[in-house]
Amino acid sequence: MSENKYNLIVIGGGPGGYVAAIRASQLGMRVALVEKDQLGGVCLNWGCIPTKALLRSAEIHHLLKAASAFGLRVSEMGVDWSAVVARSRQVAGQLSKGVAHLLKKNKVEIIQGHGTFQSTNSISVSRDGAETVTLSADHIIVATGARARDLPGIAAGSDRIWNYRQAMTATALPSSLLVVGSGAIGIEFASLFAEFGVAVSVVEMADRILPNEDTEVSAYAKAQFEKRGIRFLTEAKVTSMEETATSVEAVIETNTGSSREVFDYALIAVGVVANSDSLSLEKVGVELKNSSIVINEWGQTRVPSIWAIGDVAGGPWLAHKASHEAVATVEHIARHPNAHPINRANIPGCTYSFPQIASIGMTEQQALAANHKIRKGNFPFIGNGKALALGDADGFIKTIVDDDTGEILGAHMVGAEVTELIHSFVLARELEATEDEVGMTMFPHPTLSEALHESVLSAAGKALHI
Amino acid sequence: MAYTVTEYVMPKLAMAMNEGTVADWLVQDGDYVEAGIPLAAIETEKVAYDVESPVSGYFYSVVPVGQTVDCGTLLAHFCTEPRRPDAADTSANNSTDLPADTLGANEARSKRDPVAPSVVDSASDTAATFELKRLKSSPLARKLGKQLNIQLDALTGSGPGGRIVKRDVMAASENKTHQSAQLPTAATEVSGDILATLPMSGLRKTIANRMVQSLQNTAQVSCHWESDITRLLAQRAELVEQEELLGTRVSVNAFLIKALVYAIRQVPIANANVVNDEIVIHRNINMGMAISIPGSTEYDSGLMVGVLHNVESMGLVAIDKGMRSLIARVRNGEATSDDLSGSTFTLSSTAGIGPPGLKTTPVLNQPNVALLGPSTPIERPMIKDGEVKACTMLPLSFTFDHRALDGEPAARFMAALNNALEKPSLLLT
Repeated sequence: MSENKYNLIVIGGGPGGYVAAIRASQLGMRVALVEKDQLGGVCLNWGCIPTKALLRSAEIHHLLKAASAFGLRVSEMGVDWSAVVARSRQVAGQLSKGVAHLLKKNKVEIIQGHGTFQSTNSISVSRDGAETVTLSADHIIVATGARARDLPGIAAGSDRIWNYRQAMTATALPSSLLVVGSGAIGIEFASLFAEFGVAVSVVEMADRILPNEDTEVSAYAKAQFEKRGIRFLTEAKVTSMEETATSVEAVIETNTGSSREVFDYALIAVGVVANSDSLSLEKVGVELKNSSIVINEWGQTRVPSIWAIGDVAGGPWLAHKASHEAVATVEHIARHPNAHPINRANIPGCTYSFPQIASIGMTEQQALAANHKIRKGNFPFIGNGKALALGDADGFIKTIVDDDTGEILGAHMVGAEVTELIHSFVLARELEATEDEVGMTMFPHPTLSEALHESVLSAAGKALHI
Repeated sequence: MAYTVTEYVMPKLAMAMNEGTVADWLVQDGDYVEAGIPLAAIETEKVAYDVESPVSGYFYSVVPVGQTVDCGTLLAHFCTEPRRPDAADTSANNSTDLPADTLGANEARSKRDPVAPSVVDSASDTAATFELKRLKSSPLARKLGKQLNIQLDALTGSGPGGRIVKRDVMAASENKTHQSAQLPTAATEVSGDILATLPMSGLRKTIANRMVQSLQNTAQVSCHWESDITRLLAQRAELVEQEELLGTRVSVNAFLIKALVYAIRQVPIANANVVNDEIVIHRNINMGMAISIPGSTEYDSGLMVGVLHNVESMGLVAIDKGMRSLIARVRNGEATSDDLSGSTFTLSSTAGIGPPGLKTTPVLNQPNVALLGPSTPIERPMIKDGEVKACTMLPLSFTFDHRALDGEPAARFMAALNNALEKPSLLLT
């Protein structure tokens, strides 16, 4: 095998790409990973992880404000925003180094630069505009991720109109912030900045916030966010934005008319668009649809030797989906006997706002639309001892159960640490446990997890603490 | 007397039985059932049994009719009072919490000792067992299977490690609906290319699995020759003349079995099973006989191996009668567990069906190490004592497992068999 010939080339070193490279190496392939920026991708460097670090500061801030309710006296309290950001960057940097170490340990060759397809089995890698090397492989996995979508006519990335990347490295806290979009990213930043005293307004085109969640969760979360000072404009859109030296002026259209409002800064969080351009994908015959690469259940594109995983191959735009697609695709390429395509009905979603939101499977509306005869379970955290002890008893766990089979069709949670509770439902669904098996499972007392047990029991009218 | 509960579990009615289906409860929930009365019809893959109540008590079923469960799975409760037991009555942990005066220590123990009817003992013989793996399935798949009346053991799981999951049951259910909806019209519609689609399930699946396993796990060698049975047929003709006296029309197969007994005495290793990396050579000769049975449709066929035990101690007439009644039992679904297990050698004949002179390469009936496949005789001119004579030649195909048996003993065995068939007076020895 010549030096630039591999079994597998992975383009992109995010949670899809680096996992694919490691798994392929474990299965005996010679692997090259091409990354143009930082290992770990958006998730580690500019997404999941640094925002969780920021939100942790906000959470501690929130607890300190409520210290007296816990019988504690705090004499002096303040926010050193630049230290908050510095901690977030330090956490991200630490993890990115960890990925480099993992790849090295697994003998993955890391090639810095931008990969472009030359043929169905080769790419050229350029760095700073100059071609450095041509690599060829039996298989090539595209894992180039996605980037923030712009609003029509409004491009983020200027001084005062931010994308997520600028928002998480802001040099100072704004006095007011307009967030466009109420998906997970918009809501997390709204929660973060509102906690630190920023006047946050969120504009959402749909008739409810978090439009992917169950309607009950959307409505409850909205009320909770409003209690914390966030203002929402639903069925609204921003038609134009003007940036001045000191402010952003936005024209917001609602059902009742159009208004011009002035904000300190604005954040565009209206979803993402696949990084499928500048790879010469069309040149080698890979099909795209709305910028996403078209794949089959194993991640294979129309070109048999080219595969795509993660955000570049379509939503949901989640790191865990990308990593699982990576393993499925690589094991399939390696003809591993246990290769299984990912179960698209079983991808959990988490929003790390205050309160947190987590969900899996069908919403009530989706279950009914799919002609399921359902039973609903619901348990409020106010009935959970641990939640009361934490002083954080807002929220509930809703479960959707198939009336005939007891299959857990969906679970929808809002409240303290629910992002750490959802996995029980993911596991139950993956193992195809029904309400009976979950009902028989002993959840430890006192924990928040008892609430999910009770929620499942309540679907059969067997809840004990409500 | 305190309220006690005796658990009744799926009995293991044969060595080869790993699971069973409750085909019918013969008593009603709440009935007081005396020990020894017929309790349930239990079906395995191969045999249906009526089982008797092992104890007396008020009967409450746990597993409904139609459900297939592993041996040892709780099927029903026998209670000392006419009350269905609740969780507290049946949990061993809870029972120990009860005060001693309401539930004695002995009773508590007896509660935990599940009862089952005595097991049919074929343990002395490592039989030709069906190797059924534990069925891996999800709780949801099991529930759906019950609801949609899909037997999970007929499915191939697509989950991790072959686990049967929801999509497998749903796919089977769709197939079922599809077939029942399509087959009647297929008969009337000439345009359809597919005559019938047969599910690889039940007996078909068992045959398929066993054939593949046999070919994958053994070193099979097939040999062919023809034995001159002209004299044997003449002797047989004498016995056929005495049909009324003997009570049976002695078949060529009976002679064949007698000849096999002779050859096995010369080369005992041909009468062996390979079990757990050991070659177990048997003193008794239990003749496994491949018996064709009707398939699930007119296009399908079925195959089972019936076993005639201890043929070494039987005369021609006993062998012939035993063989005929065994075949009848297998074809009528009346075979007992013994009828279907314990073979030490296999006879798989296509005589009378295939063309004269047919040679085959029969697949070993594991764990037996050898199998004889006779087929339809053919008339040939043979040179005997320098003269051309018209002879009836019996084509024989012999498959042996080279893991257990080398060419030399195999050749000696075939020579001994040939000798016995050509000189039938040896069968009297």
